[in-house]
Amino acid sequence: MKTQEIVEQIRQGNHKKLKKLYKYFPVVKKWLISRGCDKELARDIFQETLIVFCEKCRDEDFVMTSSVDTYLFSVSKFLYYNHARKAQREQAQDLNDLEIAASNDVDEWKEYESKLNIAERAFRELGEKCKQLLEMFYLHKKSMKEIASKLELRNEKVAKAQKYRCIKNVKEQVELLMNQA
Amino acid sequence: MEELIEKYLVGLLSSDEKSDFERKMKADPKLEQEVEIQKQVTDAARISGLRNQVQRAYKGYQFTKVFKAVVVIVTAAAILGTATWFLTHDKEESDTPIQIEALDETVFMLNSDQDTVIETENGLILSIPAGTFGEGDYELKVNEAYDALQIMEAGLSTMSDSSLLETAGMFKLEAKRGGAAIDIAKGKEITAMLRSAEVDPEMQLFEGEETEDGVNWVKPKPLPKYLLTRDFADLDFYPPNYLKTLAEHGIDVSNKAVTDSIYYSFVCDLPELSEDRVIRLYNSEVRGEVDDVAPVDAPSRNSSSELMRFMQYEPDTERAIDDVPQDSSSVPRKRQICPASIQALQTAEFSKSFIATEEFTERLKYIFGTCNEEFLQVYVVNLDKPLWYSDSIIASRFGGSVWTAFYHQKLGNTEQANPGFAKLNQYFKRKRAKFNQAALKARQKLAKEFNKAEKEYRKAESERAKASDEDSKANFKEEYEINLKEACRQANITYVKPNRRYNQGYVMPIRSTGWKNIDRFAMEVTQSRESSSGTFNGKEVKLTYYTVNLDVPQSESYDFVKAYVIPTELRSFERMKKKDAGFTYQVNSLIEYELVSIAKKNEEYFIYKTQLEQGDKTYSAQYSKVSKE
Repeated sequence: MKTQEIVEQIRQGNHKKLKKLYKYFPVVKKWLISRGCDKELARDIFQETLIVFCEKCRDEDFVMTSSVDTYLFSVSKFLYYNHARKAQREQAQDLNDLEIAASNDVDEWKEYESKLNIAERAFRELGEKCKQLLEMFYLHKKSMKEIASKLELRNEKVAKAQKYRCIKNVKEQVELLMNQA
Repeated sequence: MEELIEKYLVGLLSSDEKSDFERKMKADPKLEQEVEIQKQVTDAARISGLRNQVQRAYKGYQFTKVFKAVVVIVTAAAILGTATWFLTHDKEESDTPIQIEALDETVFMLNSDQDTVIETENGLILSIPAGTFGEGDYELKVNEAYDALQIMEAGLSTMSDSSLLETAGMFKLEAKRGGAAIDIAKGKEITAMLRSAEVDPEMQLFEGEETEDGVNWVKPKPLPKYLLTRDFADLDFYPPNYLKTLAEHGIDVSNKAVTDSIYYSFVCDLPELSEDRVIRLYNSEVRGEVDDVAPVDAPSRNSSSELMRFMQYEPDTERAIDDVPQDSSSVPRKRQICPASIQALQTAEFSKSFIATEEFTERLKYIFGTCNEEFLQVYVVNLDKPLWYSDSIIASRFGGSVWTAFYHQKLGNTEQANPGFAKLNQYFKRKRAKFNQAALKARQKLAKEFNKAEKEYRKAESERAKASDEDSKANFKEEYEINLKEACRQANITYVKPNRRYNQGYVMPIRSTGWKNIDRFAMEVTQSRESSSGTFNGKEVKLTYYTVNLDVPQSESYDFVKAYVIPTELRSFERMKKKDAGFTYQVNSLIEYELVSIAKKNEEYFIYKTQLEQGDKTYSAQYSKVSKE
């Protein structure tokens, strides 16, 4: 499949191709394990790589200059360096342009991720239905009508009101967690 | 305002509205903060969902990865210019512990709307009832591992936690529809039959969990000890020497219709035994009490009415033909097993009972020798009970080492409760009809040779019968050990295809897909594999472990290197742990092991074998080339 096609699909909220991307996992995993990661960590890093990739896909200006596998591998490497730097083990060396790009993406993501930390925690506290609803809307870009029928809500309006309540819940939770911190 | 923020974040505002909104934000820090929180919340929703998606995709991927991992590493390495050196410089074993492509793989395209029976090249038979995998077409992939080289090359081992298992074969079932994995529907089960030269009653069915070190075998379930019913046409219900005698008189013994009609034409005085007496008599023997009423678990109505018919059967005396030798059966006329009884047994009502098994006809041979129809009646009356029950009645009432030996086989009954089972038999019937057809042709062509062979067979039969007269237990044990040794010796070097003509085997119900293994616990060992005390053969013993190391010179030049320690007396495979450029393992001092290492380079296989000596030791692998066959 063409690289841009994958990017396009993910941009539109279709994540069915994610499974396909795992075919690059064994190579990445091998490299990570050769660097001393255990299997768990290797998997976590690759999954985070996929998230970075998906997030990147949302950016309409994002154009893949390399193939997906090269990009994923680079991102995984930097996520690993990032992790290792924290453990003060390893420094990235000998970067080429492409890898600098990946490195920037990773730095960006890491910064963003730490900011999101509290909101994500709050989100996870939500009820299952709320989670589903917000995921459908913000991740899969489903219309309110589709959401209503999927979640067996009476109509769009009810779904909309429900969404409002869900968001309010998260916000309150975020504020609560912030005050605790 | 909420809505506006939302629209702004999702990107639904026009550029004018957007700049207007951003201006407002700059002027109003509270609004800015509001937007920031809202953004965080919606981002969190998205990313949290994304994490779920990624994990869900991983699970789907995991299911198929064992098949694809190695292929993917090769192809992906070609694409990833920057990554290749990592791979070429890294000669460690693949991360996937099991290389399933080393195993025989059969893929069936099936339809779940109908009952299906399939057989793999290796003789694994699966009976799959309709609806087991939902509705419609699906793909069933079966991977099997029976011989040592396959098991080792695939990286499989026979450990259950830290207990050593002895294997009779492993297989993996995977079903897919439209690329997605499907499992066996709730309440449905597949009946699998793995044919085997010998059947070990201690074998159990294990399920496999793939782990970092290979497969861990868990959830052992005993295998039901079913007897397999056969078509009566395939069973020999004649007295010993009957066919031989006929042949000597120039009668075509290959024609069952003829031999049947002759045999059934004999007149016979039916013994004066009543059904009630038989039941009361033997049940009191076994239970140690006299009971006036028929036991609650008496034979089913069908076999009961059949039994009545059998008791009252009057042979048609008109049918006796004069030119048939009166002494064709070696038994005296007065006291004998009535051909009429034998004929009655071969009717549809008995076809699903143990009467229609080779196990029963084996007993029948001896029953003919006793000339006592009471023996026969014991079996007929106890059709609903396991075969050993009747064996034990005869053993206790009439004594005799033969029946004691039969009893010790502890054979069960046929399993009619299992719907899949009937299908297996049908399948067998078809298969065997084919064999019979071929045999028939051969017989007609070589009628003379056949008669000679038949004589030899009879002779061998009587010798075999004599042999099994001896203490069966000692016999069994000895044979068992010899077979095991032989199997191991062969397994270590050559590939022995399971003989498809074995008519016994392991039958098992399967309710989930995945790895299956037919094993028995060879011995219980301690978790740590360090010297301690434990049990072996039921005795408390002190266990000592030795450390065995294997150095592999130039290990980096091979595509893969694997090392196993294999007990000489068991069909077990313990995979050694990787250490530096070689392997290490703790072996039990009570077990005699052989160390086997296989390696592969450029499609060529290399093997190194050595007998382990007592004590800690380091061995150095010296490989020699072998052919896979």
